[in-house]
Amino acid sequence: MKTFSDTVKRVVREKYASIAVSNNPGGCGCCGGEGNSFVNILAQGEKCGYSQEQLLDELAQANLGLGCGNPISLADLRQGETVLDLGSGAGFDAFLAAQAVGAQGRVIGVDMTCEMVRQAQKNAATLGLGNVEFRQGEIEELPVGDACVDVVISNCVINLSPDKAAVYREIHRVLKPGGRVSISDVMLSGELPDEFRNDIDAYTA
Amino acid sequence: MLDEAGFTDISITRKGNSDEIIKGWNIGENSKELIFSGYVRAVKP
Repeated sequence: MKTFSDTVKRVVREKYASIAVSNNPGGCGCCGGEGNSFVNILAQGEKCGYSQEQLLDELAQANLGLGCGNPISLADLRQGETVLDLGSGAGFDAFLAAQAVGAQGRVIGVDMTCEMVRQAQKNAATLGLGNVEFRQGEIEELPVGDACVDVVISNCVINLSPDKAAVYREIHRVLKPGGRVSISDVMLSGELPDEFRNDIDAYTA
Repeated sequence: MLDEAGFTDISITRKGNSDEIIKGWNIGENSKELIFSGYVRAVKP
């Protein structure tokens, strides 16, 4: 029997799959609308705290304007570290992390939407980045081993999970002792009104 | 939630331009009263 969680995940997956396809140069491009224009993505990126340099870098082809901050800015990434990006999308933050940790470092991006994983893999190949990989999977059950990651980043993704406690348990599991979390997200200021609590559409508004 | 998961040095910081970010999504007049954009940092001991 389908649960509310199953439905939330399906709706989120479908929404982000359509975004991945509409932003794919090989896709129809007719679904993006005004909200996905380069100017709007640039403007949103500046609000999120990315530098002009980051937003105009060739990596920015992977920026779909879906974040709500810049988790890299507070992550204090160091050369040689292993970074895990939850909900990596088309790969923008993962690619920024790959630059920061260098060739001896490693970045793993996890996304539950296969269209996003495919787009990120395509972007990685185009950019020639060999220290980043993308895996399809759910953030509540990460396809990553125990205690093998130095830093977990995420950008406006955990709010989409119907089981946030499970996500944080998984983050704890995959981090090495001393490992760090740097997450940008939207959070509740107080109690969620009843009319939104079971509103599927509120997850992808 | 982070505490229960076993993290320490937990900090949750509201972004200075949170209202501007939320407003840019056009998700409702009162959205910035319900949610904010912020950063979460923590360490696994």
